[in-house]
Amino acid sequence: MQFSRACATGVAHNTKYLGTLNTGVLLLSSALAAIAVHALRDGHARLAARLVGGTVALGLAFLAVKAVEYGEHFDEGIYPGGVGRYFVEHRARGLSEFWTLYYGMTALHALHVTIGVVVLGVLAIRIVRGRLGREVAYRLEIGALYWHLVDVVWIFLWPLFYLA
Amino acid sequence: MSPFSIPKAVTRTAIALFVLWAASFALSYVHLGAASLLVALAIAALKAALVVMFFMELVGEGLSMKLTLAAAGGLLAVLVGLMVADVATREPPPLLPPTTREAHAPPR
Repeated sequence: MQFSRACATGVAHNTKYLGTLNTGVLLLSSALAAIAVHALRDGHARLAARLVGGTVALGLAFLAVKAVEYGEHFDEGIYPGGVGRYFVEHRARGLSEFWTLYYGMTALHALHVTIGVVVLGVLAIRIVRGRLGREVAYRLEIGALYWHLVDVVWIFLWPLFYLA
Repeated sequence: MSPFSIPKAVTRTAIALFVLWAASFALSYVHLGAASLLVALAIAALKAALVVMFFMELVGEGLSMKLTLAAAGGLLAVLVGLMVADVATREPPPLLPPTTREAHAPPR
């Protein structure tokens, strides 16, 4: 199968360490978000705000690593749509599809991470200002649910584009 | 106010997630052939299940909520499965209509 061969070539060429680092960053951020929800329910608003702040910081770290990763690919001449010098030197069928899918799916995921960072950032500010307490902790719960969903999507993108 | 303690379920889930994360990374260096993707995706499914059950707290919800999510996951699996089957059976690419197959056959 030519597509699976091209997929294996693409995965072998990908920035495995950066992808793995980003997986750890997102898993930790999800854990912090889950703890923050429990802290706010128990009335520990200041601790919850710090934990949500930590989640936001890890989200920003994820985006920074992603930017470094894209920069490395651009330096190698790998752009979406099979554009760039990499595809002149590597003509195997399916490589263009692999890298286009990689950019499409990881960029769409990064967009959702950005949305999550903004949502959780707003929630953290509301907790600090005393406008989000244990009585309405479900609001933080909803924000955390969204963040966990973004994490779940990355859990599947990581083996598909970096490991297998 | 009583001091805050992290629920054990959250701590254990976080530890399990990082163990599976390390296992997945280590297994990527073991040559499992065609099974490597399946193994990596199986570990990913386990991690996703842990996040959904304990971080998203589905474990405490009723059966109707669990069935709703299972149905959505099942539909996604069917769609992805059909797409993979389509790509996996396209050999040799591109498929040629029967009438033009002879015209494109290599000379004997």
